[in-house]
Amino acid sequence: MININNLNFGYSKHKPLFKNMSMRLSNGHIYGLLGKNGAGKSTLLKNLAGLVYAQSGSLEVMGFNPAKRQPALLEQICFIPEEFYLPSVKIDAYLKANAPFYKNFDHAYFANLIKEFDIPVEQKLINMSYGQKKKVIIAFGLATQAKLVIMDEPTNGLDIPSKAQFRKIMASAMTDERCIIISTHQVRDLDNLIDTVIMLDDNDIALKATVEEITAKLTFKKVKEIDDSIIYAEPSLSGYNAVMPNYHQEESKLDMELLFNAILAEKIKFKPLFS
Amino acid sequence: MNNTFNINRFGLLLRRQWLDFGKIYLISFGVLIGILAFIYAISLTDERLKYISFNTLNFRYPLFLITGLLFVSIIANSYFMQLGQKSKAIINILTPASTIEKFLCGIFYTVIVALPSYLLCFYLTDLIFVSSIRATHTLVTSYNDYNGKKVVIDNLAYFFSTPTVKQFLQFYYVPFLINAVFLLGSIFFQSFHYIKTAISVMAFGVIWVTLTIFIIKKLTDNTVWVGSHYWQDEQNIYFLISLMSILITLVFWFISFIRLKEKEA
Repeated sequence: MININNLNFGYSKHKPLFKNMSMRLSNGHIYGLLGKNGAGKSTLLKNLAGLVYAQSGSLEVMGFNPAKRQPALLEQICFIPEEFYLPSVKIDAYLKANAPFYKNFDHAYFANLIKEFDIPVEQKLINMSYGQKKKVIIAFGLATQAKLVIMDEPTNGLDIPSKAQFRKIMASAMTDERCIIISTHQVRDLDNLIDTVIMLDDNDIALKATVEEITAKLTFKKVKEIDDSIIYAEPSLSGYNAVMPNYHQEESKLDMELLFNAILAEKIKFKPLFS
Repeated sequence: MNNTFNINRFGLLLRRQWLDFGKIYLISFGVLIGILAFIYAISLTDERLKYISFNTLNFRYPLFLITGLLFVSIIANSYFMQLGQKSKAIINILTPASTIEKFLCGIFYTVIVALPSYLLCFYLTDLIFVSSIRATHTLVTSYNDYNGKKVVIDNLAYFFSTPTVKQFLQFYYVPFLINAVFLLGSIFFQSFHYIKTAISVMAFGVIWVTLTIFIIKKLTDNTVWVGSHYWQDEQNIYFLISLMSILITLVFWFISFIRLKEKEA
């Protein structure tokens, strides 16, 4: 679905954000995009949606060049930005003005999502809280039936029950034809949702691996003492939370926060495992 | 699917853009009506009408030009202003319509809708106020022309039937030129669009006039014109100025389209 080849991008020529980045993303997956502040998560998403232009390299989304902003591609992209604007109208008017651009728009599904998110339909969009507005654009975006769903910090501003609803809705929205990319700092919000982790660091991809692959190669454990087999460990109340190679095919649950810190701290040690 | 232009999609875009632009347009329109009515009212008080003369309604000419300039420029400058805000720009850029459709939509609202609206608004305000004066006053002057024919001038004529307004017609390109300049300003600048565009226009105007005077002076000082009389005919000069202005308008529209295409969020 997405092919990125030798992508070079930077907001200024002297400060590149991506250097010769290459990656391939397929449909049928939910990708979690992680990275430090300023690593380029939102910028990579914007490149995919054609909101910014790469300096060099090629980028192909569903066979289109997103930089050309062709309507045939735009109607297949659902982009949920971190900061967004909604006009001063009610949901009905918003729907009437925007839904007809998407030929596969599912009105019944949208109504269901709005009901599930408990959105007050009689209220003007501009008067809603940030979280409510976010739920409206998430519902709208998913109802477009777009094949590429890009979400930048989607759980920011959502209350605790809404985060659980969001996970449930996203899991049910996943189809074999869809590719969902979610960028977030709140890694716990994506627990059990994403199937592939993409981590950005140092102008490139530090890690791209499925959850299965990660837990097959690494094990996440609580240990009392640190030994040489441990790649990375963080002190906890009862000892250490550690990441180590999974030599004995043990089953463990991926601790995304730990993995994130581990990769940033010990990138060289992880490289041979995921090359 | 036609990715360049589709009439149905363009229609949908017109409807969608009304959600954003409609409010600015209606507010500007309301303010315009208010300003026109206020200036007509204070210029045509009972006190002033007691001493009515042939120039009582002359305030309408500068009023028409100044409010026209402001209305056309503000409307044009507001249209793509939202692209300066990332949150609005993202929604706008990702709306499934081509750049040409988005640009033409801008032209539709800022030219095809805004210009006739302004003329209609001015015409109606004038009609209401002048009709009320005509109901109680008449002011006609007359003279015999060189053929001995009697010419009657109605000094309380409606604005759009005065001879001065008919002379405005040879400057028909001016609102389009203003639109093109301010539309580009609304795409080009990220913030304070109107002020920045106005300052740029003034700076460009000063440089252009100074350079033109300097070059022409250098070329023509201590020389005598021996060419054809083409350049001495006022109509030819007006024609060429019109032609150049139309060309500049088209160039500015084209640059605006390119800037819109390259706009990032």
